[in-house]
Amino acid sequence: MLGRVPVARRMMTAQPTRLVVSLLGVGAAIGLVLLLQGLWNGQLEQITAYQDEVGADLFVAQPGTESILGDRSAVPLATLEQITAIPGVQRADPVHIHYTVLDLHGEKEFVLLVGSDPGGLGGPWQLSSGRTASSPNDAVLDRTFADEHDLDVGSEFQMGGRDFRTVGLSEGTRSWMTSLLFVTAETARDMTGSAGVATYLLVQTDQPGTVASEIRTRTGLDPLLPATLAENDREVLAGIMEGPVLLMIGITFAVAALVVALTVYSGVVERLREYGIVKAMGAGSWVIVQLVLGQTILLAIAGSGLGYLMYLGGAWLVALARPQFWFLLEWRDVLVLASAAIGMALVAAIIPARHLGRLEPATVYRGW
Amino acid sequence: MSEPTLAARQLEKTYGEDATLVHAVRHVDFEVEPGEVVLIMGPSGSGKTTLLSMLGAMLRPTSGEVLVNGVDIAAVPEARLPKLRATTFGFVFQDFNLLGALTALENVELALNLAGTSGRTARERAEELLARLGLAGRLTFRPDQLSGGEKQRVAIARALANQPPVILADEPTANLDSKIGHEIARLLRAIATEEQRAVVMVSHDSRLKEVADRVVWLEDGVFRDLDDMTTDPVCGMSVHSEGAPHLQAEEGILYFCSRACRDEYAAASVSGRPPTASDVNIPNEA
Amino acid sequence: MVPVARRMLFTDRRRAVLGVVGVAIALVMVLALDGIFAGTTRQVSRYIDTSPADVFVSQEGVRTIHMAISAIPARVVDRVSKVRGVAWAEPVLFASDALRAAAGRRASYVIGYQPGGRGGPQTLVEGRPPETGEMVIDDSVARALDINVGDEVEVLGRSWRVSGLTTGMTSIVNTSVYVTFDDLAQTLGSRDVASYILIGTGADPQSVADRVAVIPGVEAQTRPRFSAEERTVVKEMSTDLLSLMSLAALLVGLAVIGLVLYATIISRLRDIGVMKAIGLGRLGLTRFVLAQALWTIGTALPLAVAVTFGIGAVVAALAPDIDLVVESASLLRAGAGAVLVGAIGVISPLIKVWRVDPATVFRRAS
Repeated sequence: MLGRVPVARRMMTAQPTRLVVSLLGVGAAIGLVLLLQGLWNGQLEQITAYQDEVGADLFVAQPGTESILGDRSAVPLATLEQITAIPGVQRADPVHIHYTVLDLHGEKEFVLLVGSDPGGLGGPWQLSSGRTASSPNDAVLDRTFADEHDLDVGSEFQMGGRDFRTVGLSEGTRSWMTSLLFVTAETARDMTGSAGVATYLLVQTDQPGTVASEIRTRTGLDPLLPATLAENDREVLAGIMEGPVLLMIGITFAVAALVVALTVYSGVVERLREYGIVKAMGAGSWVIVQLVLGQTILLAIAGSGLGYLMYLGGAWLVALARPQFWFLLEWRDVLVLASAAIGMALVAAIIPARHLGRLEPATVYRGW
Repeated sequence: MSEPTLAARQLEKTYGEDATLVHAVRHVDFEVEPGEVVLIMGPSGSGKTTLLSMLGAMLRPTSGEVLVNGVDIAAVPEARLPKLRATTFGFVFQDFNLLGALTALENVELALNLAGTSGRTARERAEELLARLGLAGRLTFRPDQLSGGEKQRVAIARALANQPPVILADEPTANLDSKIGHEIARLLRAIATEEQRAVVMVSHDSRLKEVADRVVWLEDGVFRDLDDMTTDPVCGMSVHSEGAPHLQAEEGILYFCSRACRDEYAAASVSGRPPTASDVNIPNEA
Repeated sequence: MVPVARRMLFTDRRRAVLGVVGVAIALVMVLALDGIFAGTTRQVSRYIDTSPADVFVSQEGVRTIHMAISAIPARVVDRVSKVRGVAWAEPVLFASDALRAAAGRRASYVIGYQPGGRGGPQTLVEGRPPETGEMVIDDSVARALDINVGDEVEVLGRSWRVSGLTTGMTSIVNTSVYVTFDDLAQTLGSRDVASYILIGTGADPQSVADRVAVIPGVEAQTRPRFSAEERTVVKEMSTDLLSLMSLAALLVGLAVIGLVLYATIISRLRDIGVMKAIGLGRLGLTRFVLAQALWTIGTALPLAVAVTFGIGAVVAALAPDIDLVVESASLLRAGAGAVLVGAIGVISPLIKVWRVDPATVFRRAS
């Protein structure tokens, strides 16, 4: 209110220690909500890195295939020629995608094996060192995965009873579930015993729409847009994880709102006498309620700001310790979460506000 | 005789029920005229604070009326009370009751805000009041940076902010040393005289008598006749003779505030010289 | 006369309640998130945990069901049953695929077991065990995908009729469905091969497992071991995210507990100053604040456990797929962590008191 004594703000800043403790508590609680939400968004984003980044305009799959995570696609290599012949197709390459186990110093690591033709589509899109796989025993590992297992360009390891040599390290090729491991298409076919079959045929074209319908007519296969495939994969992941994850975020969110409310409430209890003074001076219940709500809003806004900083700090720490976890939080998410937290805190602050509304001004005489 | 600014008619307050029923104030009749300073005295627990709270619309009486310029504030609906408190009464408390988070200026300004005055008008009025009370150099100080006397002067400025017809002061000097206490008492006296406000003070401090036009004695929730009042010869406290510890001395019956004072007097008189207030350490009752 | 002592006691009680509520809220968050993680992880090995088998035999090098392909020649079953201490041995066949119905699909473990054998569903809540062309599915998936007994579903590229419903066999990763061994063998085109062999023992499972493991080409693990391996694999691939989230909640929860207890002490610094002024020493004050912290946590913990169970009950009613399990280890971790940060929280404000002249506490700010 213009031209009025900012009592709510003054009350909050009068005791700096208390304010700092309150802000830290509220900030930590809201920061946790942001961290969990950012983590979950990050996983949904990361899980589709391959579809998003590999550079294909169409993934040609076995009919009925909807996602990489949830389906097993098998397409005959023989159709590759038919597809390449379609006008508008710039190039088409087979890719083999299978889960497999890597035996690293006795520890089993599941990886998503990606076999692609040397120089063709489907291989790593960003190398931090080395080169792509070109001979049967070449492998490209994700850099963070390699770091974690003390592997580097030149390191050797075993997979499926075969010896491999690391020839390159790729970036952005790890999800929290698995890391991608790139080999040649031929090696992948050998390892999985799937001669004559690829998981997908990747197509590059400027006219995905017309090319897709042509592929469908000529081969009976199902060309999927990377975005569609990514969306379906996100749905598969969400179907698996969404329940517990959202429950966790929900509980954290409720706790954050309660922490704000509790902080406001204990502030009220500590200052009961001062509210009594304001009332004795002639403040109506509504003025008192405004004071409490004003402090709640200030606390929630400042706490959200601090929470965002804590989120950044937390995300940074996680990135150091567990690089396979990504974070993604857009401003919209932050605003929605923060305003929801403020809204819930306001609802929760009604209890202390009502309590004060009924406060007798004679409280000023009591020894608290 | 002018119309009383403040009047209480058959004012009563009880707490609890049946076995636990306590009469804090019983059937009190009382009037204060404009410009008059009335001092209510009485021992602790006599109902002084309860009476003052009822006079100031901070506590609803169990029965009876409180009239301010002829209007019964005890019958005013709850929703209208805050406005009434803001504009009709100015409160001065024993422990000042300033808001620790606000500056001296803001404490006064807030009172104006609550009565509907805001912005520059409120600020200028607050500054003017504080300057008048000699606090022009303390405007931005917070209560914890002020001395006791300064705090009480801020509280008085706050009480005067909305030019209320009635000033209610609860032990206004109890937390101050005697010199400052005296200053505050004279200030309240001057306010009553110069601005024609009705001032009601509640106190143990008999030094306030000198600024009061009238002193009334409240004990066990009822006013006692001041003619029955005497002074404890040991500690100097005012004592109502009815039911008080007493002894027969050469100069007549002496009344004491407590048995301890009586016994001390008796012991001293045996040894030769009865003690007086000057050589007894008076505990300052808060 | 204003009853100062009672008022102060009342205020103190209110402060105490606020402290307990604050700590309890933080503990609920820690326990609930840990409980969701534990519940989710436990679900994952439900087939193994509810199996009557004491030992699981798999192909050498395979230690799990999830993300693994195990193949053991059928004749090994006979060899296994002759091992000393083996009471019974039964092959099961395993495949993973999506279960498809009109309303959607779910990743599933397809388990082929011998009719009447021990590898099948342990309980049937509706219908009867599968015969050729039939399958038993989990009731929560049936509910989610609107499948009734008698409906047709598609798995492994063919259609099956649902003959019955079992319960509790759906995890966040997948759901178990049961068909007959021969039916699955035929569908997979496999012959004379089992995926796993389930063994019942009369004796110590570990020694039986050790004796079975001597057979070339196989791996034998006791049920707890096999179950733990399974959970580890799934954790790495799926529940690791939940584990990280629950760890973050633990850290933040403990921080909030520390702050709440710190706040309860700073709001009582005046009282503590008075206690110092009347002669309580450092040790005495420390013991006083520690007792307060322990009392607060001790009251908050049972309260938090009760609320967490309440949340668990609500979750069980609203989302039967999600399990919330409060494990004693989690309780111990949360409790011990709370006591530790609580002690730091209550002792740190005392440092201020050490330095302060006791008389200053008598000053009043307003």
